[in-house]
Amino acid sequence: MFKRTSSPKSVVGVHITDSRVRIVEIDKDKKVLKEPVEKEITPQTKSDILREIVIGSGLSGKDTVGCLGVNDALLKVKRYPPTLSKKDLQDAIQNWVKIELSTTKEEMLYDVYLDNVPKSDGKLPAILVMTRKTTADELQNLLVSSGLRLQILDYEIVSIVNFCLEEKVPDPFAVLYVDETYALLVGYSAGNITHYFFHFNMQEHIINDDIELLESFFAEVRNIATLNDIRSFYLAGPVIDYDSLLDSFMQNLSILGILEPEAVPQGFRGKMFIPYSLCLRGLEK
Amino acid sequence: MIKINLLKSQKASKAIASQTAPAIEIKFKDTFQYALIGVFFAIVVGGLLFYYNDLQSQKKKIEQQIAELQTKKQALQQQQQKVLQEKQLLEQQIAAIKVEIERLDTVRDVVLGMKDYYPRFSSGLEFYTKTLPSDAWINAYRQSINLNDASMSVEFELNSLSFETLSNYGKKIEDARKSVFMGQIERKVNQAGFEYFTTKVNSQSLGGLTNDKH
Repeated sequence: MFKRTSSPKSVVGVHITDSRVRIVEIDKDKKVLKEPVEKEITPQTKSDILREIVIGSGLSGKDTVGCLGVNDALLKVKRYPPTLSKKDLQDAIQNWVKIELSTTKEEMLYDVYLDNVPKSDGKLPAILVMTRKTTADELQNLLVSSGLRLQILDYEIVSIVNFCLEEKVPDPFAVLYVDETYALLVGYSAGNITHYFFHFNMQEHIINDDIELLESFFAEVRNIATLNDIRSFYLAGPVIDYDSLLDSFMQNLSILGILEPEAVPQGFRGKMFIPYSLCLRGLEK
Repeated sequence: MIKINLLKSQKASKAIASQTAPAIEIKFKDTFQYALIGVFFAIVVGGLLFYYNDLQSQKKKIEQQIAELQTKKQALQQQQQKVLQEKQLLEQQIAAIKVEIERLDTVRDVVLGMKDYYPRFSSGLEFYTKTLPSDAWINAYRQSINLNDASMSVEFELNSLSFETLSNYGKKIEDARKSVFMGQIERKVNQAGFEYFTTKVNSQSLGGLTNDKH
């Protein structure tokens, strides 16, 4: 009744990894307002650097969407028959969450998203994301102390899937997201989400021109894709901003296409993949 | 789009049902509606309680009035009973007086009816006493009149020391009145040894005293 239905004037998306901080701001028409910012950080300097970016870009007090890294949260999916009554469905989800939370000793934060549209198997998927409260507080304090107004705390895997859903990528799909120091293979099929984490350091490969490292990564990706019955996938992430590396990926992996936010200026489309997706999430409060 | 926001669950008490945005809206609406319904029912219940108390007080008043009226009714019934008893008493008295009046009326009629008979009745005694000889005396005189047929009967015992006196008197009155009959003259002696004669005279006239010769 009193819920704000109008979109904010602009949304800031912040993606912080162990080596980079990336920020992009878009308006309600999904257009990038300022040139996106990416800076290299260390655990000791990320607070100061983030504050500099916020002040320098005039982002203080703006609605912000952040996300937890792939290893900072857990994602689980459960499927429910649509014939359940609303109350029974809520009770079932509540019991499921209780069981999942009972496996941890620490105080947890969680959120559940129930997709109200039955998928191809006729069931309703419920997606649970939970994280340690200390982890969420740490990120929240970091963003708030930098002057940003954190409105939504998302999860990296979910933001990758959300971009595909927004771009209406046909279900099922898989995305190979390659960042500077890690890579993810995310699969989505009828509401079900799977992901696999690769310790692939792209920066190390670029600096050292380590071919074996790259081929080893390719082999690992192919193995995982085969095991998960993924025949082809999309490519996303900072890797696409490196042309030579992009060619290698296209030649060695069964890449179906490249996912990049077209509203983002060239040279940032790979790096700002997740920040832009977070902004889209911010527009859908 | 999968809408996950981990900041939403920072409040531990937040229900799972409120984790999705539509659910929050629905729940808030429901809560608001429930609140309105709750207020409405509270007002209704309060009104009913007030109305119930009002009815109870009215009921008590009416019960008190009924009790007072019952008391008055009993008092009036007692008064009615008393008045009825007095009425019955008066009716009994009236009936007794009516009976007395009727009786007095009858007596008056009788008295008025008998008034015509008095001279003839009295003339009977006069007839026998005036004609009575000086040496005779009457003992046990009885005279009666029958009001139904106006017949008069006279019966007396006549005594005398002289047989002839009685015999003459008998003839005399028998001649004077045909209805007079004198019985046989008997001789008797009293306790002192005196000898005297006695006889009984009867007269039975059927309304014909006026026809008798004096």
